[in-house]
Amino acid sequence: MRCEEIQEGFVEVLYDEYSGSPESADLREHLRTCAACRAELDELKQTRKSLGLWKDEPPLQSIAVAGRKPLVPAASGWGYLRYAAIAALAVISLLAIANTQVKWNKEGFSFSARLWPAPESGKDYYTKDEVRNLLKQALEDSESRTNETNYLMMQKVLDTVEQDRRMDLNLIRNTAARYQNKN
Amino acid sequence: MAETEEAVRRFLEGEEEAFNRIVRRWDRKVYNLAWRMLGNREDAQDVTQETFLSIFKSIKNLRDPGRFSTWLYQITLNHCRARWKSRASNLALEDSLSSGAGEEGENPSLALSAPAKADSLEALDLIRKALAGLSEDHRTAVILKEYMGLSLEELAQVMGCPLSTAKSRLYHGLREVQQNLIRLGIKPRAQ
Repeated sequence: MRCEEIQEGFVEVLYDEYSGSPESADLREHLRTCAACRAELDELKQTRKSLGLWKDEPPLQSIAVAGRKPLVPAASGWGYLRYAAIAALAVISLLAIANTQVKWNKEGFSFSARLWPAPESGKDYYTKDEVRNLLKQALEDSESRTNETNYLMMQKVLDTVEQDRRMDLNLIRNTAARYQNKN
Repeated sequence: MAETEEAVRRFLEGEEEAFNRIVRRWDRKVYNLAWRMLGNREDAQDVTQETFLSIFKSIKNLRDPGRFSTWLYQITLNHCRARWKSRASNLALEDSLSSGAGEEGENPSLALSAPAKADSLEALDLIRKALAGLSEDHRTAVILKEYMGLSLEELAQVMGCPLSTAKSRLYHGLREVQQNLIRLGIKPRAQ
């Protein structure tokens, strides 16, 4: 028997698991007479010893297996409903955020959130141009009121001066009349 | 083994706590099989988790609880295979083996017998590299037999091949490990 023909059977010897087949008996007989095969078998035994240096280790973490719950919850009908509800809530929130309005109108500031954009009904807020005009008007009103006030004050001053002048004239006229009567 | 069969039966009957007993009994085996197949602890941990997830979901399809360990090892190997394909580091391991290792005697500093390196991490690393250099079939055969302690019959069952094929893969796998160790500097000493 050639060595190559039986060498695959070395594993029976290496692991002491003889099959009891005729080939197994031939193998043992061959090993008794073939020094080369015995040497190779010894080398394989040494290789096994080297492999034995790699010892077992415990897992890095214990395996997460819930006591009462399955590792992955089954996707039941209720499970799908729950996901659908979460998705619907997310959509509603997005719509509400997208249609949020902050306004400043005749009644002051206001905040509102809608699912859908508000219809273009009666306008209850100022446009930019209107705000600009309002400010312009307010300034003009203010200026006009200031001018009017100044005018009234000037009038009053003039009246006062005129009144003083007349009083002075009367005084002079009376004094002159008294001198004339004396002479 | 009878304990596992009993736990599997109880789990199939609805006792979910029985699955924890299965995990506690087998997680170390699964982890160490994955670690040796992949050479990386983190990947091995992930594969262990994925394996028990698969087991949990499909254990109802296991017809014979007596074949649980065979089935478990097959699932573990499938997950290792999937992860192995998605990893580039394994190629790096093989590259390091093929490019870094010279012929016997080229690296005298490493030309020590295995026992001399028994306590060193270097020896463990060299063994890991020697295994990584094997083809998938040969590595699987060596690891299942050497580290999982399967019989030759069980090895053939897990690998899904005839007994003679399993023996052949194991023999050639051991020969390749032997040659790789010599190339890496560990010289087996014949007794």
